[in-house]
Amino acid sequence: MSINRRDFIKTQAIAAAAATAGISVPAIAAKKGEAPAPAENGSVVRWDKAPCRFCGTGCSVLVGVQNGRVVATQGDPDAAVNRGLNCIKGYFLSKIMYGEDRLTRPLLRMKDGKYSKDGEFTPISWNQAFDIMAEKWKASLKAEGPGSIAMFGSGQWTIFEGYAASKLMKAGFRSNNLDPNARHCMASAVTGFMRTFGMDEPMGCYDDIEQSDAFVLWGSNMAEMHPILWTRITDRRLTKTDVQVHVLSTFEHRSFELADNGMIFVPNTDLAILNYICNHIIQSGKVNQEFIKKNVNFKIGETDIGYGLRPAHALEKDAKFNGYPGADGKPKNNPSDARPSSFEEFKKFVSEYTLEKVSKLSGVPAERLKKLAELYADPNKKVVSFWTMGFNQHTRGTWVNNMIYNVHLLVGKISTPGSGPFSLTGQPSACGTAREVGTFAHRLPADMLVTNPEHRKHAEEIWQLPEGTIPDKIGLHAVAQSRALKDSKLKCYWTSTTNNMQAGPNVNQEIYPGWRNPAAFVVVSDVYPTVSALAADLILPAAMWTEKEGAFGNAERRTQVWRQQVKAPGEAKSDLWQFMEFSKRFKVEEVWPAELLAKKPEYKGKTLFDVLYANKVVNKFPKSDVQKVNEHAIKGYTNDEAEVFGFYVQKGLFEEYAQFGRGHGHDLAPFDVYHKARGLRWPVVDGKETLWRYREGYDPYVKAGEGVKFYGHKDGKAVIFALPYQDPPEKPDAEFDMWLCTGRVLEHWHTGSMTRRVPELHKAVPEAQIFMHPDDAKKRGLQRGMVVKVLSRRGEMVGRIETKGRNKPPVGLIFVPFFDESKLVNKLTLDATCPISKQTDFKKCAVKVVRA
Amino acid sequence: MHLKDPEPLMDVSRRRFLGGRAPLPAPFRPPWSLSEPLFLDRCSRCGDCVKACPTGLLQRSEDGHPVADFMQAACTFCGDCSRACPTGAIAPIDAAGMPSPWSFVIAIGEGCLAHQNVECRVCGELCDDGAIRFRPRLGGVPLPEVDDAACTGCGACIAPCPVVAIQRVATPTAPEGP
Amino acid sequence: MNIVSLVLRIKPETRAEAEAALCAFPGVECHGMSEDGKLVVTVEDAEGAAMSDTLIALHRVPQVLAATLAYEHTNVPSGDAPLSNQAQAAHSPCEEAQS
Repeated sequence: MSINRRDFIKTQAIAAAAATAGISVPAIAAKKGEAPAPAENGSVVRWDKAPCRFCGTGCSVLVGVQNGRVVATQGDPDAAVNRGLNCIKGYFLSKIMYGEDRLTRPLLRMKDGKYSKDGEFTPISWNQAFDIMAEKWKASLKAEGPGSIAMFGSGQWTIFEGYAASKLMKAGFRSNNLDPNARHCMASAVTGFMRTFGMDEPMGCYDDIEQSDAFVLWGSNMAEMHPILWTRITDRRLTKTDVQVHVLSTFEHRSFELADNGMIFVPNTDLAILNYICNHIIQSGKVNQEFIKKNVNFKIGETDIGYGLRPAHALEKDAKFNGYPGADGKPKNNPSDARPSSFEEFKKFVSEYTLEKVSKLSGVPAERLKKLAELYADPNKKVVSFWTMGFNQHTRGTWVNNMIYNVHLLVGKISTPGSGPFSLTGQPSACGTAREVGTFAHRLPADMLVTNPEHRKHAEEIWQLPEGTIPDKIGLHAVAQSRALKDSKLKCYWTSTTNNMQAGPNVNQEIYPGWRNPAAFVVVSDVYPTVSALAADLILPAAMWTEKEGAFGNAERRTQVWRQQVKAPGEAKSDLWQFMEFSKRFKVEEVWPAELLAKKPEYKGKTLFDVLYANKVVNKFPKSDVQKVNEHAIKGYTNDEAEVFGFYVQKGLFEEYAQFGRGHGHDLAPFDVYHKARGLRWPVVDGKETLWRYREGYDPYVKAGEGVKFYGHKDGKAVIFALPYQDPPEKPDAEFDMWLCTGRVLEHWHTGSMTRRVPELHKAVPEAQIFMHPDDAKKRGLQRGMVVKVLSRRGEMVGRIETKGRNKPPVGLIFVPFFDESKLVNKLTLDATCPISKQTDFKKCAVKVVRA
Repeated sequence: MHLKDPEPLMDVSRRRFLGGRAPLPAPFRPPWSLSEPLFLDRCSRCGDCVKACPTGLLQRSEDGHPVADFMQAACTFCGDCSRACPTGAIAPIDAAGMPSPWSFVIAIGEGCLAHQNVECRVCGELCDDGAIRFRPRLGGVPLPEVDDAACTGCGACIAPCPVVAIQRVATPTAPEGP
Repeated sequence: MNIVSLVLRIKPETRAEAEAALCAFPGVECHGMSEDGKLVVTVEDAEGAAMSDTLIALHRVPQVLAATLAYEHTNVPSGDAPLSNQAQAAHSPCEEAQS
């Protein structure tokens, strides 16, 4: 019997009796997180706040701990994001840590007492684990240099972990081969923001919802993937009669229930629809001329940019702007290139995207497209556009992000309460860790780039490193890492808090052969034996969520911090401990060239731990601070890292990291503040968070009289890009005659490694189904519930057909969730990426469906 | 699960509250079964209906009688159990004037996640007959609404409910008592 | 799973002895008392002790002057019909429908 349910019933029972007796019982107060409730064996349930472990919404939950175990979670009534609400995953959060097969010891593939690539997983000590890792890393660094090692991280890392990993890789090992799984998730959003605004992350915030007149969903099923934000949208729609909801997708899903204007479009034609909207706005004279004159530059983007496939692929050979080495060995230009243009030129560019043409191309009835365009054009309607993977997982992902900004910029509906484009995220700290900390192969903290000499210099100053420590070349991104492993260019690979063997594209042809390549040594840090862990050579048991102190940053720039609530099981350790402890294995002279070390001779003989973490900044705050900062919430509080390293690790890392952003538009509040607040939205200046960036009166970086200022670009202007519709690299044909779109369901999160271990969630949705139109099933002689085989040019999977239920694809498309490791739909997907963002398109490839 | 109305709280008499354990209710029998005393009288415990059941809904209870276990599966009303029954304990479905297999609908208890402001619609997804609907509402997640007229009592929603909040109950119009 | 909550009337000055005696029963927990001696107690099924048996036994604790049921949750395992508070055992929903 579920302890949650029992506790819930019991609380009701106590409340009823207490009401009868005319007394107040602490248990009732405890529901609000104010006082502990008496419970079994005389021990009490202790309640404390923490952000949810799952999606990027950033709901706050109250975590109930009893006898050293998390026993309950509930929506935090004091949290501005979720106001006491919770989704089904959040409700069962307390169970994700207690799956029966939690990893508790390091496991190495061994044969005859020694490491062997084809050995059996054998328990070893942490010491032995770091021994073999250090041996492999050192050999690799010595033989082939820093380019032969890589790390694949996560938007589920805490901010501290991402920052510590970034220092270890970019400063310690001097390799930019660090990328987060967020590459699969919102890299296109990042490049979209950077190209248009010169600065990452949304300008608005969730408060827009309660002030808007209309919502447009572009490739986002918020009803299932961001259910708490969806309830806020539902509230708005139901309280104000003229509020409109428009939903665009390549198949019908739960968000269509609320839609006033639902639109199913042919995959990739969102590009054409966006150009039609711009054309409509211009033709109907609704351009906000004053706004664009003052705040916007126009550019025309390069279009012959390829599809991010392997350079030898037929579609890449002739592409002139894909950035790959040409015949002369030099990169073939830059896919992000664009030349200056004008409003007149843009007007002409989009004029060919007429209603008639785009309706035909997209398959959306003309009157619906018109209704959508008129909404954006209407100067009296405030509009918020939301999007997630439909836009980002797109071989033109950067473009389509740029193009939604085109629409909002043309009418000036941006950076103002109730109006704006809003890129949602799927991981709890995709923004906080992956983007803000800069754990991408091309990035440094606070939107800085490894290719910019000034940025490197600034980072080296803060990190107290000799000039030239940080390499100036962009490292390997997610898909490139998989390819480099297969091509024997990468020798040591450490992945953490991610499950790329299930989540990455083209598993069969690219990822699996790479990981099992005898030349490679692959380490996976995780909490459960995922398919990735089982494909690795060494498995490290990790601590998760409230087993460590942490911080996440959500989609609306809100930074939230939590305390360690319980101990990790067995020998499981936080990723933070793993990175810091591993750094002790390396002397600076073992990893840096002599000429670099000569610039900082005092580092000679020191370990990477000394240089990176015991640098008088990160270790500035004594262990006693841990208790001092958190005494208000937990008496006698401490955390595992402070106990091991002897200082307040998290505070030291945070305060060093915060130096990057303070005064540069990314200001974070002092560390201690976050342990009291329900999160704050940066920039936090003079103790005040920022709700709408780039606008006077809301953003402290915009001076009086400036009105709107897109200060990410030096001239204070945003860019409208002229970009065309193009076909995707693979479309259904005579043999592979259907589109395949992958995605998520409400009950499971990403690869299901946590949610599938919660019995209640597993029971609710036990397996991934193949959602198909009934006519398509009939045409193939298939029936609902029948087991079928889905094949692409890259692989096949077997699953059950569902022709009813929550997703209703149009004829010619199937939808398959990717949470189910017994199905592995990513054996079928194509590893084509947006050439600019390097993010994979998981939403479109060609498949056929036959009887199994 | 049943949540008792908290008012009036002090009324002891409404229940034989210290009167010892109440006997268990009669179990669910296969569809089209005769009333419990008649069923027990006729059923020979041969197990043919259990073998015939294609979904695994029908199970042998400890005493050998068949029971419908909705935690295992749902009923598709295929009639195989009735056809297999040699004694008529399960009425023959092909006979004229056969009543509906069960006079049941489902009731969603207060344990329901949606009633605790948790977004969950598993039961609605599984209802082929559209008998469970979730309508958007103000100030919280959508709550399930059960349309008794549309509910066939198939039980497909019972097992998948993450918190076991769904129970089968007699239709409101069903006669009182045997 | 069976959980009930009760309000027991006791003399306030006997609280310590009463709680000690009550908590000695498996599945019984005390949650608080009003100034005039109304004690809030929950009773659950425990290993070897059905909730309903414990209820009877509680009544015989010397310090307990009177007992009132405030809330009751009972359900029968195995997914069968709920044992409703109001329903008499004689007409369970199952029989009603099949008769």
